[in-house]
Amino acid sequence: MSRIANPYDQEPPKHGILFLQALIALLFFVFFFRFWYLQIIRGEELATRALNNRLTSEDIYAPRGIIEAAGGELLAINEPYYYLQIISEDVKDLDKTFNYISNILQVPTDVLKKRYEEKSDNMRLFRPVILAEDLTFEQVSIFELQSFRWPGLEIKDRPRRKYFFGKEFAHLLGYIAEVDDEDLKKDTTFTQGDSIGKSGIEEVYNATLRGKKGTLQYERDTLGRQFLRRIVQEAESGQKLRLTIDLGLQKLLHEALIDKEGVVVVQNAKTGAIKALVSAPSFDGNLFTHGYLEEETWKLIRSDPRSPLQHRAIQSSYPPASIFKLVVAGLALEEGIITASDEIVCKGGYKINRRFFRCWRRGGHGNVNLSDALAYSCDVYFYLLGEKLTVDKISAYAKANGFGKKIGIGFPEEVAGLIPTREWKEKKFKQKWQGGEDLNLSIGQGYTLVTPLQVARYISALVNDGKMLHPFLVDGEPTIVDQNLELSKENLLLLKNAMIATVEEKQGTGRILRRKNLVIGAKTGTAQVVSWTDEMRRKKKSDIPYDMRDHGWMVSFIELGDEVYTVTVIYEHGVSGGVGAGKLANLALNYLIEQEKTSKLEQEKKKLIKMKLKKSDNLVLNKGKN
Amino acid sequence: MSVGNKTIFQYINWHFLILLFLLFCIGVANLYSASAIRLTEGLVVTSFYKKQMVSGLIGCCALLLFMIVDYKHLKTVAWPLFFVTLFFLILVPLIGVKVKGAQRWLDFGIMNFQPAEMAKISIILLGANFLSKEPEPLGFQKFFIICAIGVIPALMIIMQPDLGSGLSVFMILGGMIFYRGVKWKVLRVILLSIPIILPISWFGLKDYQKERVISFVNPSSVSSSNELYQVVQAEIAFGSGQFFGKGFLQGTQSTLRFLPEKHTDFAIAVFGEEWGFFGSIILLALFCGFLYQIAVVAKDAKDLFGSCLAAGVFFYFFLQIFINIAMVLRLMPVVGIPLPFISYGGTALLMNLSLAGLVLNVSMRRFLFK
Repeated sequence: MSRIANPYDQEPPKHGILFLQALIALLFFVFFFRFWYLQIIRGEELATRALNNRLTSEDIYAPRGIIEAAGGELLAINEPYYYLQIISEDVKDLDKTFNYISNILQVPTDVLKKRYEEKSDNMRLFRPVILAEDLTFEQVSIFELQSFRWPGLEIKDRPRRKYFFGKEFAHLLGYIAEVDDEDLKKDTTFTQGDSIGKSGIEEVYNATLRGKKGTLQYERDTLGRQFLRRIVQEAESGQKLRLTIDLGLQKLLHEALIDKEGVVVVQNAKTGAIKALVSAPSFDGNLFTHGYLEEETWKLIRSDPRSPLQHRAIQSSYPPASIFKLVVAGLALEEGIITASDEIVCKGGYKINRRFFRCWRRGGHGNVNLSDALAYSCDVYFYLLGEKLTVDKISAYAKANGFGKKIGIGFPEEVAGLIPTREWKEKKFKQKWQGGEDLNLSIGQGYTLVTPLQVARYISALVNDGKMLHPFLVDGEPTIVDQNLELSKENLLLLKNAMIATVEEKQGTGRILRRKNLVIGAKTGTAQVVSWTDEMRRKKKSDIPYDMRDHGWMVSFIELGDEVYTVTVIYEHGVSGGVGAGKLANLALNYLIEQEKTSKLEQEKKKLIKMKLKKSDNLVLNKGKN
Repeated sequence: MSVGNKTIFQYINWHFLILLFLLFCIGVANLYSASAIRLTEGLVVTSFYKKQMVSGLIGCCALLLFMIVDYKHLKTVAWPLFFVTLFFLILVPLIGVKVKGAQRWLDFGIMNFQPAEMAKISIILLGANFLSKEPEPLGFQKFFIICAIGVIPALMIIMQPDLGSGLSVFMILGGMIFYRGVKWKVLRVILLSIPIILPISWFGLKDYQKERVISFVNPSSVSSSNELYQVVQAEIAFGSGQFFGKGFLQGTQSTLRFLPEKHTDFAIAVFGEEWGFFGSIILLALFCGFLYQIAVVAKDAKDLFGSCLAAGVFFYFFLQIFINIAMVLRLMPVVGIPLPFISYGGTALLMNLSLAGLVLNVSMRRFLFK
């Protein structure tokens, strides 16, 4: 090999070659370790992150448990609720599409466009915007039929609560609403958009009714478009609830109370089950389930002076009036202050400390014993007892027998009522308890307040051998004895007989309830709303302003076969217990009697059928033998 | 003169050519996957990979051209080409096309053309020409002269602004200088001056460039920025491949479009996601082999000019490979530099194949006159 001399030609620089090789080695090792670090050491973590990137999940709403009345009649169901949404990125011609929707829904295009612009978000593509809610079935079918022509339009559905007897059961069932921030904080299993019971049974039994949400998983690209949708977990629907409420009775009483204010509680005294619980006036529970409640409707309901939202059976407390005489009588018997046969003379009033306390009957009742005093509701008899017992004993006894504290039926809006004491009055009014107030207390007027449900529970206990049962609304709940009344068996019987006398005696205030051959007992009461002046007393009852008219109480029980039912009625501004409230009680009693008759007939039918079946069985057997 | 022109093709460096071919094929295959997008109808592949193949064919012609013409003639065009390049660089701010806030392109009607790319070739030729004339390692005087020559186009490119290309031009030249060798005292001064120059250059950076550096050093400080999203998604894509990868066309990060720039600068993230550690190491080894073959050509070149030319091409490829992978894998701030043969880009491929032709040119003629 010859080599031509060239002054500039030299061997390649040796260090330079080494430099290049070193750089190659550097390149290899730096990236070898970087690859190792990212793909092997952190590989799993980054793979998970890649998975989270693409997989998104969505809730599948669980149908809420349905609610039935005692006879299996549906009260609350879930109906599909349709809405129209638009994904504008998939729409070919937005203007034409809006015109098309406008034609079907009879909503001006401008309104649709406005809705669309308000809700759409330019930053997030392929996000559906809800254009119209609560579509009718016809509208849905038109959209579905034409869907291939209008890409980007979608009909979606969600379960929504529907109450068949919205007004009859409004207070009882309550309503559901979308969870708010507080609910979300309290229970982390809720997510935005979930429904939650906000009052009544829907609230108390929310955990049972709500079911379990399912999960839908799908892949998503950066634009939010979805692929490969699949259900990872099926939704579990909520459990069914059957109430103890008799639909027919509830409806009947609700209708009777339309345009009135008051409460009727019908309770099975042997079990504690509530058979009817009507609070009037009412509202339509369906108003709240539409997902949105129009501001005006809401205002109208809230500002209604008759306060339809108030659940009067537990949320309102009333003076017990003469109903309280049962409690005072019981205490007096237990204390041995009187016996059943002790008589006093009622001259129409009683004077203490220079103050005259009237009996409601100006002429007086003459000679009365305990039974007469209860049956005629003689005030003077109880003034005497009150004077002897004083507030200390009466209040303690009333509290010991379930008044003045919450029953704990579950509804958070329940109030405790009020049983006054000396300490309470001093604290509240900075005044000492006056002797005369003992008398007022003993006839259930003054400060004392009770809820209709408390009264119902007490009366039921009286006719259930003194066992005070916890009222319940949902079928299958155990019978719980809240407590035993502080009354001996003899005294219980005395009070019960006095209640029967109230119905049976000619002068009895509950005579309106009397029926032949049936054991019915009652006690009436007239709760003063305001202290009546003498002038008012002279007036005709119909001339007194509505707001000042007295509330009428009528508590009663009826024995039907093996069952004993109590019917507790308070009729606001119904003047006196015997009349208005009595009519309502009569309705309930009639219903109960009719029901008893039909069920007896049915039982007999069944027996007959059984007997016939047995006979035919025997025939078949005999034939076989032959 | 024992070896004639007819037979020089016998001396083609086949190792280099095969590695080149493999890298190109991997690049096209990866591009096929990287341009696949999941739509409701299924996987749709856009036509990037076809365009890349067409560019590859045109690039082969360029490769042949750069291979056949004896590289010694390049000595004579080195200076003229340099001045033409400077001329184009001056034209850029005057009539250049503005893309994403930076003026980098010249529109020549039939094709757009980036003078910065031309500057890279020019600096390789000029550097090789200059350095091969030096009989011994560079002293201070020659060192400053060659640096000054390099700084002119580099700064002009940085002003466009195109920091990545500008620095590349300068670093290619720097690599070549070190390849040729500098006197010990010169090296000492260079090493000492680095800690002084770095902080000063910070103030010369544009805001978006600073942001890149900050996001790299402290990722949480600019968490909202697009840049961070990009590198984090790239890291997730690459790392989620784990050992064996998700398989061809199976990369979720790429098909579901979580990975931006996946067919251009971030293509290796797609590769890592689908082929895993296993495939990535093979690709890395191929690149190292490719660079090694260039180094072999530099070593075996018949003259210093050829050797320096090959070294220039070596740095050209080395810097791109190193910077691109390091940037995708969060070892460096984001600078828009593609990965040779793997990233999509017609002009870049044309350049790469031309310079590969130059390497083959030097390699083929290694026995001439020896």
